[in-house]
Amino acid sequence: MLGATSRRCWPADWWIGCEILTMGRIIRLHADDHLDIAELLPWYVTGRLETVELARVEAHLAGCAECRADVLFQRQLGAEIAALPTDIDQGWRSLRRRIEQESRPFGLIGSGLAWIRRSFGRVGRRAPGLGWALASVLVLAMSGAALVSTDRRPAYHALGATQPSPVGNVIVMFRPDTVEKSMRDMMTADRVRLVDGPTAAGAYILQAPADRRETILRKWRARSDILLAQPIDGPAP
Amino acid sequence: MAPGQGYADDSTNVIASSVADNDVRLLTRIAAGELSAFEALYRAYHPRLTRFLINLLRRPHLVDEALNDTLMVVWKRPQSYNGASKVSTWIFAIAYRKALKAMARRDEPLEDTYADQRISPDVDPEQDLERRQMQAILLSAMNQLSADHRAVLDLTYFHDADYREIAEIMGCPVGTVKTRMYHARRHLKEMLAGRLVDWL
Repeated sequence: MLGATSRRCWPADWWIGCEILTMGRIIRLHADDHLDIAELLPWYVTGRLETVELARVEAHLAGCAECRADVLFQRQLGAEIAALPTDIDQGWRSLRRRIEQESRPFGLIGSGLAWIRRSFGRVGRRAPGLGWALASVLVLAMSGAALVSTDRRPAYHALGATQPSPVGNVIVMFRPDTVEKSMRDMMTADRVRLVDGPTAAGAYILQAPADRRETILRKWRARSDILLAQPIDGPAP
Repeated sequence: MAPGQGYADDSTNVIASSVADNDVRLLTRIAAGELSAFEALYRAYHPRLTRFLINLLRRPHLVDEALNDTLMVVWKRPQSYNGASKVSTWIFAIAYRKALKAMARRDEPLEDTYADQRISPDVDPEQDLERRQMQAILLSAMNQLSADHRAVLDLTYFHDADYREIAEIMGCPVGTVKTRMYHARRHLKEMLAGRLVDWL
C-alpha cells in the first residue's frame, strides 16, 4: 500500500544504501552490507554470533565509526535494562500449593478457589463488589459440597450410643508442612474440636464454638499456616 | 569495548553449556515426578521468566498467572520437550504463548505498574537523582514499544538469546526478529538522545 510506504535515506556514513519502510518491514534497495551488519550488532554485543557472522561484523567495524559508536550505545543500553525485584519464595509456595491441590483426587476446593480467584478477580476489578459476591456464593456452595462429601454418617445409631457425633461447622486446610503440635495448639487455644479428617483433600472438619466461630475464622485466615478456613453450615448465629 | 570483542568469551560459553546440560537433567527428573527437581528448575527460571513476562504483560496479576501456567506445563508435560532446542528456549516459548493468551484476555489499558520498582534501588545516593531520571526515560521509552519489540529487547540484552532462539520462542522468521530489534533500538536511541553515554 503506497500510503503506508515511505522512503528514507540516512547520511552516507550511517546508511550506505537506502531502504523502504513498508508496514514495518525493511526492504533493501541495494546490497547493503552496512545494514546487514547493523542488524547483527545487538548479538555481537551480547556475544551470541556464530563464527562466520562474528568475522563479518569485526571486519566491518574496523572501518565503520558509526557502527562502533552503535556498539558502545548498545553495550550500555543492554547493561542498563534494569533487573526486576522478584519474590521467589512466595512464588514457589504459591505454585507448590497449586500442584498439591491439583494432584489430589478431592482437589475440588483448592483448585476451585484458585479458579474463583482468577476468574472473579477480573470481574471484581471491573465491578467492585460483584466479583466478591459471586465468589462468596460459589465458596459457600463448594463448602456445602465438602460437608456432604465428608460428613456422611449412617442415619441410625447403635442402641448403646448416648449422644450423636459432634457436627462440624468449619472446614480448614493447613499448609502441608504444618506440624501436628502447631495444629493442636491452635485448636486448644480456641477450644476447637476435631470432627473429621483429614479428607482426601487434606482438609479437616472442625467444630468451633458457635458464638466465636467468625472470630476464630478471621484469626485463622490471617495465619500463614492456614490455606483455607471456611464455615460449612451457613452463617454464624 | 574494543571493536571485535563481544561480551561472551570461552568461559562464558562453557558456563552456558553447563547450565543447558543441567536443565536437561532437571527435566529428566521432573519427568520422573521429582518435585525437588521441579523446585530447582523453578528457582532457576522464576527471576528470568518474571522479568520476561513483566516486560510483555505489564500487569503483576497477569504475570503471576502466566508464569505459573508456564511452569505448570513444564511440570505436567516435560515429555513435550523434544530436545531440538535448549530447554530455556522451550520454556520461554511456552511463556511467550501464555503471555499472548493473557494479553488476549486483557481488556485494560497498558500501564507499567512495576515501573517505580524497576528503577534500581541500590544506586549511590549521590548519583541517585540523575540515574533515576535516566532510568525513568528508558522505561518510558520501552513502554512506547509494542510487547513484541520489548520481548526482543529483553531476550537479547537480558536473557542472552541469539536471534535464532528468539525466532523460535516467538514463532516468527529470523528476519522479523532483526527488524523488530532494529526498530526498537532506533526508537530507544531517539528517546535517549545521546544521554546514555554520559549516564554511565
